[in-house]
Amino acid sequence: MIDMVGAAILFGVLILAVGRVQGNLNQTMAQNTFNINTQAEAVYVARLIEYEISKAGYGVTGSKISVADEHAVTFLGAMTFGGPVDSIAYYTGEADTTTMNPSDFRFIRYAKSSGEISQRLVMTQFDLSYYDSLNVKMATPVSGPNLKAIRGINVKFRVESAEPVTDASTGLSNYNAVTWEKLIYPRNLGKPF
Amino acid sequence: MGRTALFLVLGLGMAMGFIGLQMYRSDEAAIETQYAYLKYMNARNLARASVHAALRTYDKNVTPEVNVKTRFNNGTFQIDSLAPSANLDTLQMVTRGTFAESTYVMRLKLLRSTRPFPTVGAAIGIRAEPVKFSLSGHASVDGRAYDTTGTHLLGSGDKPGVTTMEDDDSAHVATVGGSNINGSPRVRVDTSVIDPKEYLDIYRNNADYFYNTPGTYSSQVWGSSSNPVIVYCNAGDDTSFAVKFTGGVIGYGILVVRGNVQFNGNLNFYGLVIVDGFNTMVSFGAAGTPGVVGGLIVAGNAGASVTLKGTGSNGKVVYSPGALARARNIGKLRYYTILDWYE
Repeated sequence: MIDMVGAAILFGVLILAVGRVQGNLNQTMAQNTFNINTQAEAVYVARLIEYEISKAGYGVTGSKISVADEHAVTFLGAMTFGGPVDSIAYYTGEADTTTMNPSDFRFIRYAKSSGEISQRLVMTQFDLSYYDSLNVKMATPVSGPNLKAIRGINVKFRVESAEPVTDASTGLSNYNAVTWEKLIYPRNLGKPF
Repeated sequence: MGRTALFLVLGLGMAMGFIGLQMYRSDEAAIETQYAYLKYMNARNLARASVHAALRTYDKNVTPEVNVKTRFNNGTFQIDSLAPSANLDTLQMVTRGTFAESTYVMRLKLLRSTRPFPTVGAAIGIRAEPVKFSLSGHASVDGRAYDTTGTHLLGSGDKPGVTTMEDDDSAHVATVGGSNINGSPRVRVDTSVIDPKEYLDIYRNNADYFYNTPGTYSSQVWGSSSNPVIVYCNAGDDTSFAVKFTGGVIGYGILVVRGNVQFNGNLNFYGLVIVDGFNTMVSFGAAGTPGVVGGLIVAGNAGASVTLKGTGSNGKVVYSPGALARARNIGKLRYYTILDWYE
């Protein structure tokens, strides 16, 4: 009889422990999932931006950048080797109300050849700054003849998780985030023509 | 009871193992995402390194090798193809960087240009005013255009023998030089001779041979006709010629002399010689057959002196547009302008 009671108690303790472990594991799994999603999105955006901005001015004669402000850039360039010149733009869109994250907005990529794509990447920051041939930061928005002086484009963005993740140990809720920043020198911006 | 407990523990162990596996897969996916980006970045950097390595090889007047892998930073880079234009002004290049299984290719077209070069439209262009000038022995100056070896006249493109900044100096040089100066005309005023000072730091920083300490040097070989170089001689103001070259000196490219220098014995320099400094004195000594094929610019403070002495009979300074062109095209003095860059 004592054995039965002891076994029942032990079983109960084990079940409680397993339940707690399961809860923590679920939380960690959710955190990991958000983490992976955030990282994957950051890498996707980073590679897209690097790929396209580094082609700014490729195959272009004359003006290469037409818009250069803090949150938007528009440039011309052929995106494939020897291909047709396209007009590409990146800018921030309206706030995204479909996520729990209060700070995110849509990230918009526009291409003249394919139109506008408004993406829900849970982006919470998209900042651009511009540098001239002496590597001096230019005042934004860059406009008029100064557009021709742009030699470097610094891109900084931050993507976060769509929902908050609660830390199992502290109980605090937060958003997973990845920040990426790079100063890109599109080689074709310095062309003499 | 014991059997039930055993099954319970086994069940728990399996559940934990399954959860652990799930977490491992999740971590692995995160690491793979990061590592894939790292590989991509490294491959791109290696492709860029290939471009830079190729250009630095050209700087040494050597043609880079194609399809030869270079290992660097745990990856490799190579030039897939290289197509310079006949005059080397345009350069088309395809480079490849490989890191792990990531490959990055760059296709570029560059325009090779030469830096601004101090032109001398005479055998000797004097930029100092007033100037002390003397010729003695069989020293001579010839502004007629010679080939790169200084032995054959081209028959066209002749320049003055000596140009000065002022009429008085021109008359003085013509009187002193007499029949030892040849050219079209022998002597004239030319104020367009560029002050070489703005180029001196570039030459100093890029010098292949640098003489900065007093001494007597002999049997010096500076470059070759296919690989012209920069020689910088900072001799100071010692009128007793702290820096002396006593013979067997042959050089190609650009020779910069600051201060007082004596060239004795056999000196043969093909290219541009710039003499600059305080009261500069260049003495081609009485022995041997020192000479310059190309052009000589003399610049300096008022009163800069040029003394040419020697026993040679073929002219101490002869004008050669070909030798000057080679000096102008020294690899490391070239720069590149991007015409197209696809990556």
